[in-house]
Amino acid sequence: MASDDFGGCIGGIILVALIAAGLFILVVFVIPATIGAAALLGGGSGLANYVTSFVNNIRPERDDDGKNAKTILISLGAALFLTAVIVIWIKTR
Amino acid sequence: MATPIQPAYKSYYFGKGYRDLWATIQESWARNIASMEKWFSQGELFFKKEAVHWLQGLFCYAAGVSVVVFGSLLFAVASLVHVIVLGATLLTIYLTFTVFYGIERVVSLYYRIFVTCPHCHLKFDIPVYACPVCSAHHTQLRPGVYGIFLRSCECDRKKLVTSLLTGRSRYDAFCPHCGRFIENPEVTPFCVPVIGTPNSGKTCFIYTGTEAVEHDIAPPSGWTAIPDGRTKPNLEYIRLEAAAGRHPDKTVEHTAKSFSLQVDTGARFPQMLHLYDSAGEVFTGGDSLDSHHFYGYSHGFVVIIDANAILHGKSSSRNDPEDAFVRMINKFKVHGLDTQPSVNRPIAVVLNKIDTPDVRAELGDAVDHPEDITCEDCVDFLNRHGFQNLLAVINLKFSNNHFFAASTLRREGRSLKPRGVEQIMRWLLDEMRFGK
Repeated sequence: MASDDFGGCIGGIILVALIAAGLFILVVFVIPATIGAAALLGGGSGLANYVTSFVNNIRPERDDDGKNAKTILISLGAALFLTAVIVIWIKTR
Repeated sequence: MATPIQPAYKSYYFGKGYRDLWATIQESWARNIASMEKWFSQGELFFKKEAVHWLQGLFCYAAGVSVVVFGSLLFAVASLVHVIVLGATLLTIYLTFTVFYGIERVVSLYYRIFVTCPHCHLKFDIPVYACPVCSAHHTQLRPGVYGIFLRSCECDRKKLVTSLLTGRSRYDAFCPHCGRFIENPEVTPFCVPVIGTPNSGKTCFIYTGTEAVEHDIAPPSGWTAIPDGRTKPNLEYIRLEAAAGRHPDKTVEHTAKSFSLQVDTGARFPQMLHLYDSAGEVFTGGDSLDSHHFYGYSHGFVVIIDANAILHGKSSSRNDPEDAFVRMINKFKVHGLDTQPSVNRPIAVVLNKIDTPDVRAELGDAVDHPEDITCEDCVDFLNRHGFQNLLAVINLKFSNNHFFAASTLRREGRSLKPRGVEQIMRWLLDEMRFGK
């Protein structure tokens, strides 16, 4: 009887440990990886869509290939991004 | 201040940039929706197959949800960045052209630059400039939403400079009111109306005054004086007439015309002397003085009084200098010239035609050297002949006044020559701070 109780207890512990390990793997690896993959997929798709639309629509007068405006806007966007990165870096240093 | 529509391309950041932004946002959102629908419809296809494909279906659904969540998030962030970049650029350009425009205004004020139409005599800040290639009229060729330093004309073949400081006055200019050509648009003008009764010698004075500045005053001062295209033939004609011993024809036009002399004094911008001539009849009746807009922006005045007519009692209402003078003063308010307490401009009162025998009998041989006849002599002369009222009005309305005697064109041999005009012009230019 006692060995059965002991066996049951060990089994319970192992079960709990397995569940905990499973949860740990799920929370620490699986969910973030899934979210990361989803973000990569969804965000990449969203960004690709915006960039395509941007390239299709930016058309200043007499700039038929939109080169001037795109160059300016992309440069300024990059400048803005870099500024944001620098500001965040300075704030969190 | 809104700029009227110009025949030029608006800066991308002030017009089309926002239409493009909206089109980009719309298309991007539509593309996101299309991507999501594509993933969901693919997932649906997998779920319609056998169970082994359900995992693929699940992946497609998850991808669709990812596009909805993260795609929308990225869309929002990208749109925001686009708006900020566009807005920041707009603000930068706006500030730049505002500063540039401000500098131009300060320079204009400092050098007292404004534009006057030699035809309709209205004053304005900027004329209409024509594109040298297509002649399109640019009514506001200044730094603004069409370009800070340069603007592209709609003809696509010319970039026009937008500022006084970068030389926009090289283009053909036209009056925004009457549409006529203005030869020297943006210079520092000095405007002098010449007033007098009919046959008092206004045209002769203007001719000899212009000649005096061009040949006697400018060269010793190191200035270069050139009559403008409209004035040159008039001067040439009167010069020939005077050389032949004939007085210039009587001015019949009631609309004033200007004799203009561009003087390069070495200043950053050339100076322009305008002497305004009109038929004496406009000072004796009618409403032609209403078109004498130059009273409002004039820098000095010249009143011509026919001394010989005074002696012969020709001061009828038609020839009364006092009447002419008061008529002019009464129009000052109409043209925006403040007369209270007095007009803050110099006035030269000229006793003309002093070379006639009767005047000579009264003033003596000094008439051969009008520069020796003093201001007080002239005042005495007018007092003696009953012009106390005129003197009182002049003293009351013009604190800076001076009386001169002159023979604008007197017979010397076979030709006509001026006497005493140069000193009047020197005094006037000095009082107006011409060349300073």
